[in-house]
Amino acid sequence: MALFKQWAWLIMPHKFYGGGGSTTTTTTYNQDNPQQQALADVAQKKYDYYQANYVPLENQWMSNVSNMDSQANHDLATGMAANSLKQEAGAQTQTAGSTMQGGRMMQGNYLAGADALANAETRADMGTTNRMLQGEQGIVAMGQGQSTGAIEGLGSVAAQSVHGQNANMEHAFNQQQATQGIYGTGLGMAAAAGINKYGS
Amino acid sequence: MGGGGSNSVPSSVDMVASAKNADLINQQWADYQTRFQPQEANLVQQVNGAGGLQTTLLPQEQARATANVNNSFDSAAGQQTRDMARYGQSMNAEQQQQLATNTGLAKSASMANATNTTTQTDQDMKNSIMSGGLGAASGAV
Repeated sequence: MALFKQWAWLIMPHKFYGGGGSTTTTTTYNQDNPQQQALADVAQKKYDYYQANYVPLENQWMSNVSNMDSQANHDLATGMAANSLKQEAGAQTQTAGSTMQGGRMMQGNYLAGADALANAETRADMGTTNRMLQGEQGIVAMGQGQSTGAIEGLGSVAAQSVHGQNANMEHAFNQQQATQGIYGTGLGMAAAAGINKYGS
Repeated sequence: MGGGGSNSVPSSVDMVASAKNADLINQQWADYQTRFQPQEANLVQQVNGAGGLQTTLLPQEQARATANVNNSFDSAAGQQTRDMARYGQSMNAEQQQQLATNTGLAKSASMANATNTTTQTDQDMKNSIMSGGLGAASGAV
């Protein structure tokens, strides 16, 4: 070790020591004017504010959008569509009573009703999926610095899916009744008489 | 190594605002890549992953439509049976056969309608996204 220390100066980096001299002044030249510096500072502060306040909301929105296509949301939309359809169609007993006057025991009404319900639920399902895709488009727009646009509410989707379905159902039923009315007149008269006598 | 002298040496040129702006741009890009680009990739995959005219979401939508039709007609059949029982009525074999035929025809029509509606809506959604959402997004990049 002692031998190494003696010869170490040959392999160690050499040190050079400056000679004398009085002062060496370093000057920093800032090439930005005060306005540019202020703008840069404000831009960074705005971005920091965005990160602190808006990013959590955006992340929450992304999470909500990814959940929009869940089975629970589909069930909710189809359930609302089915309820709205049934409410618009009225009470079942009333429909039964009025139907019996015209033909077979509500056969056309049941089938047309099932078709209308399936149609409304399918449209509600597609509306729910479409809502998720709109949300994803909104995220893309958000990422591009664009506004997200309005996303339809789930209730609106369900209402739209119901719109017109009851009218379709009644139309189909009336068509069928017109065809079957001849055959069911006897039964209809008997049923109507029974209802009038014993109450519905 | 310092020599003598008392010169004023410009040791650095500081561009504070430019450096800050450059840093800000990098932050924004990193944020976009981390949070938004995966979402974009997901949307592109959903819309175009299946190729052709449909989205990748179509099979599950078709399954839901099929289930809706089956459930609706099963429910209607049950309701009809209950209502007839409430009025003290029942069907003979011939009537039951006629009802089954009518129900089958109506259900088939309803199933075809639901399937066609789902397929068409899916294509419309795909076209809408490609022409509106993603088109605008790609134009902005």
